[in-house]
Amino acid sequence: MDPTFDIDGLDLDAVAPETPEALAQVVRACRASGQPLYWVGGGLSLGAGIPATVPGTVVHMTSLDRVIDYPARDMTITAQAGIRVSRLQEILARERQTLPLDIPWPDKATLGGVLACNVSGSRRLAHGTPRDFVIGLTVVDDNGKLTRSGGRVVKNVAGYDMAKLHVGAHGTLGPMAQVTLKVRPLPPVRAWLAIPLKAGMNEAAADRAHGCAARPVAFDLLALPGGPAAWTAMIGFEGEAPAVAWQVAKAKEEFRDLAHVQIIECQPNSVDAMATRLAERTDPQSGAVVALGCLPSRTAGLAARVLADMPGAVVHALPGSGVVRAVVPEGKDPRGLLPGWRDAAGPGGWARLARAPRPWRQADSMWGPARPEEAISAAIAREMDPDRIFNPNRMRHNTRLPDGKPS
Amino acid sequence: MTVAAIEPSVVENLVRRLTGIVGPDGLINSQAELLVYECDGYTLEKNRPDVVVFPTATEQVVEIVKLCREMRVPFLPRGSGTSLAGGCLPVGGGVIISLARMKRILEIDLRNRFALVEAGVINMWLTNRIKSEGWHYAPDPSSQGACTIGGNVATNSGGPHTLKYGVTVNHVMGVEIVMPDGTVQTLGGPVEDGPGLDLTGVVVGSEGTFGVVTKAWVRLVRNPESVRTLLGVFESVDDATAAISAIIGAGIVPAALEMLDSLILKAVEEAFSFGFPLDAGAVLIMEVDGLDAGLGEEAARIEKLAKANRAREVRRANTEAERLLLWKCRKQAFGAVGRLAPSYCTQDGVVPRTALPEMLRSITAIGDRHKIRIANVFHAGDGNLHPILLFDERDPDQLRRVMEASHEILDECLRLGGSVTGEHGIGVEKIDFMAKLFSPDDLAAMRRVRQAFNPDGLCSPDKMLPTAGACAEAGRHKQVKPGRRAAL
Ligand SMILES: Cc1cc2nc3c(=O)[nH]c(=O)nc-3n(C[C@H](O)[C@H](O)[C@H](O)COP(=O)(O)OP(=O)(O)OC[C@H]3O[C@@H](n4cnc5c(N)ncnc54)[C@H](O)[C@@H]3O)c2cc1C
Ligand SMILES: Cc1cc2nc3c(=O)[nH]c(=O)nc-3n(C[C@H](O)[C@H](O)[C@H](O)COP(=O)(O)OP(=O)(O)OC[C@H]3O[C@@H](n4cnc5c(N)ncnc54)[C@H](O)[C@@H]3O)c2cc1C
Repeated sequence: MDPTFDIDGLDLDAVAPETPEALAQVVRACRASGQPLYWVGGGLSLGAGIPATVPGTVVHMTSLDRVIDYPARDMTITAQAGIRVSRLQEILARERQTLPLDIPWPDKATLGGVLACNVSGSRRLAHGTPRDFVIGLTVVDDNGKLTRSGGRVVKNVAGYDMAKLHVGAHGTLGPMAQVTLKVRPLPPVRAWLAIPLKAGMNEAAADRAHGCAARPVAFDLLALPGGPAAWTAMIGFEGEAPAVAWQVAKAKEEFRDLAHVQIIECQPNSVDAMATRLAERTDPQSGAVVALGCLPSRTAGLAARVLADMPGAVVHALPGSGVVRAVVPEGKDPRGLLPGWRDAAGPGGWARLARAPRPWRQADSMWGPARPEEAISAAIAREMDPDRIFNPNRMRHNTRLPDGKPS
Repeated sequence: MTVAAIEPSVVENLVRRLTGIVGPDGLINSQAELLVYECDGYTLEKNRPDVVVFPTATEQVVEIVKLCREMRVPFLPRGSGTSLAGGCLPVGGGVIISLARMKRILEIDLRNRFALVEAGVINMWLTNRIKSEGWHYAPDPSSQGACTIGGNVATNSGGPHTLKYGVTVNHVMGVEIVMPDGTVQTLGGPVEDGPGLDLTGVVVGSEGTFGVVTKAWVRLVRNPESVRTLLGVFESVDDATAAISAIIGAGIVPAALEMLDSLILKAVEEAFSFGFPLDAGAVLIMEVDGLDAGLGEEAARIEKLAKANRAREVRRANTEAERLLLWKCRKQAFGAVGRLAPSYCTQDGVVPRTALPEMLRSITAIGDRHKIRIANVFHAGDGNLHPILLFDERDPDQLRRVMEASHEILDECLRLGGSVTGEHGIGVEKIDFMAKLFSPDDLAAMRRVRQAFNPDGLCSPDKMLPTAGACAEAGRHKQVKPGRRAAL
């Protein structure tokens, strides 16, 4: 591994601890000197959050990649957080099990990075998001102590659910060293239908999906420049063969009149990669990505608005969950559009940049306008990282001034 | 923090000012009426609160909390008081804030699959309200006819069908909470993935120590198209638990997988006359749901696995009425236990699912050793045990043996890699186990989070986490329990 690593233009020394204890040792050393620590997994999401300004040490998490325990018949697995997603899935697949999250770039992405960013994709409709799979977690606290919460059983309410705080915290509350997940059986059969929609039919398609008899595990709306239609509905199924066959037939019947051209049934051998590829189309490794949230019923409309405001964008909407992601076309600065999109998203709605080039990464564009409950997040950060050494400034609750002082 | 009893003059002043907030009908403070509130479903420890208030709106909760803070009086939220862990025990007295009068379902939006409810809404009401439209609220604790959604949020309740559908935390999208400093915060909401930390996620399961939840946005779920419910009859508990391991190990995720042993069958049969075979060692309720297509095959696979593990017979619930009666028997099994003994104490351990046969054998051995009868009815599919220890509380020696046997059972769960609570919570009951489950550093990390929400510790003191001193000394001598003194 390179001895130095670039974080937001800071050329920083890098270390790669190989055990949780060594990671804890790194934290202890840096806490003593007040030096920031920047965790890096696969390095795919380093354009997220507010840019780093305080020099410190980069900690590569990818040497922490051991599987600690995999009692397959209990359907749980305990692994170190730096394990690559594709390796984790291979190990699970040998026992016909899986972590049913659609994670882009699985060869690079690490379990810890996925949890820190709370990545989700098409099948969240059926299976939920990373927070729903973590049953036990070991993190290093700011004193360099390994601390554990949860356990290794699938149902457990002993103690506070600390994992909920760390999942989605972008590493600001400390590094995750080891994770216990509950996993699911690998579905014996999967299928995807692609339905290029007639013009103006994306809202109708989303409404229909809401109550449809076919009950897919994924229902996405996708706008790809140059595709056969402005919007394509992607419908995913998984389960036992007879059920999936019935679902596919049923969905064709239920959506036929919305199709602009023939409904496309993806070849079974390409199905496995489908959700991953969908996620990759909407999460290129460079450039800017916007993310928006709204009520399910507003999703298709909001997605159409984003496309109208950014012609040529790749837009991926999950109308069952109310989430939209869009890849910003080259040369377009979407920051001025965010306030209008927030209004369009309706009550509780949000719009922000999930990743962006450094000059665009202000607190508001990355995390939206400040909200009252961030006072609680700030209090938590003050308790858990008073000196602001964990990914300082990435989120609004862990601001650290350039002179090194917590603000 | 440990709180001393509150001076009578302070109580008098407190009552006068609380009356100003909720009116004379909005509180009780006579000793006789307070008796009901000296414990919850966990009756081994008792302590009377000084006053119980019944606010009807968030604004009143705010005033109450601010007053308690001003007067330095501890307070704690209470739903229906069905906690089995002493979560509602007013350690050190003070004010119980009952959410019982905040029971409106404020909004149901099926298109956006959520409901907004006040914290005092009874779990079952929500499903009853929407079932004719083909929807339900998935977390279904056996106490769902009595417990509140606020209480479910606080304890992260489970139920038979949470095996497939997830526990309460997987269904709570946001909450309105009155913080211990009296500010009102809205965390999350019906729109998913809002930026920032998942504060809703950590409030769920915080057992009332982070503030008073006044509203919750919960996810609603479409009913499955079809359901198959099977009853596996086994000669022994050993065979039944082996069947559970086989079903889960085969990669089947049933909607529910519940076990009842012979002792509980007897009580349930007397109460409901379902027609359970009274000579069976154990039965399994095995339910699969989903699309009708293929469900028959899945049920057949389960039947085959049950038979391969020596099920004597596998029956099917042929009608919806039969299915509902079967579930009624399961969910009211605790109620039927009264037929077996004057008192009982329910434990809530968890073990890895493959360890169930070994764990059930240990429970039998522990019961034999302490001469305590133990009935078992539990969420088998997720390894969550509910051994029910039967006794007569008028006999102090039995009480002692029940306590010892309970602790041995929970220690055994830990030895097998499990936990001491799957859904009932730590409360006061299992607070001594926290230091066995977690290191001082683990507990310190949790304490910091509590500090962020509840810095002066007035909101439900002495719950969930052992006090710092006691935890360092755990194992050497027993923590002094303010509540328990009142009980014994
Ligand atoms: C805000 C945001 C939302 C996203 N949402 C989606 C989505 O919905 N769908 C989708 O397909 N893709 C999404 N992505 C892309 C996705 O984040 C990446 O594919 C994945 O996170 C990359 O993992 P990584 O190992 O490369 O992490 P990195 O890029 O190396 O790190 C990502 C972040 O996690 C921290 N981190 C890494 N490891 C640890 C650890 N062990 N402990 C603590 N912190 C750690 C880092 O410090 C950094 O802040 C999103 C990205 C961002 C930034
Ligand atoms: C017969 C029986 C069967 C049961 N079966 C199950 C089961 O299957 N699964 C299961 O999980 N549990 C079960 N329980 C336990 C119990 O019903 C649950 O813990 C339930 O969630 C408690 O709800 P409640 O309204 O009675 O809360 P309470 O008992 O009043 O309170 C429980 C805890 O929550 C806190 N609390 C209550 N309301 C609020 C609020 N609004 N804001 C903040 N904190 C609050 C209290 O301070 C306390 O710590 C059972 C109990 C009984 C008696």
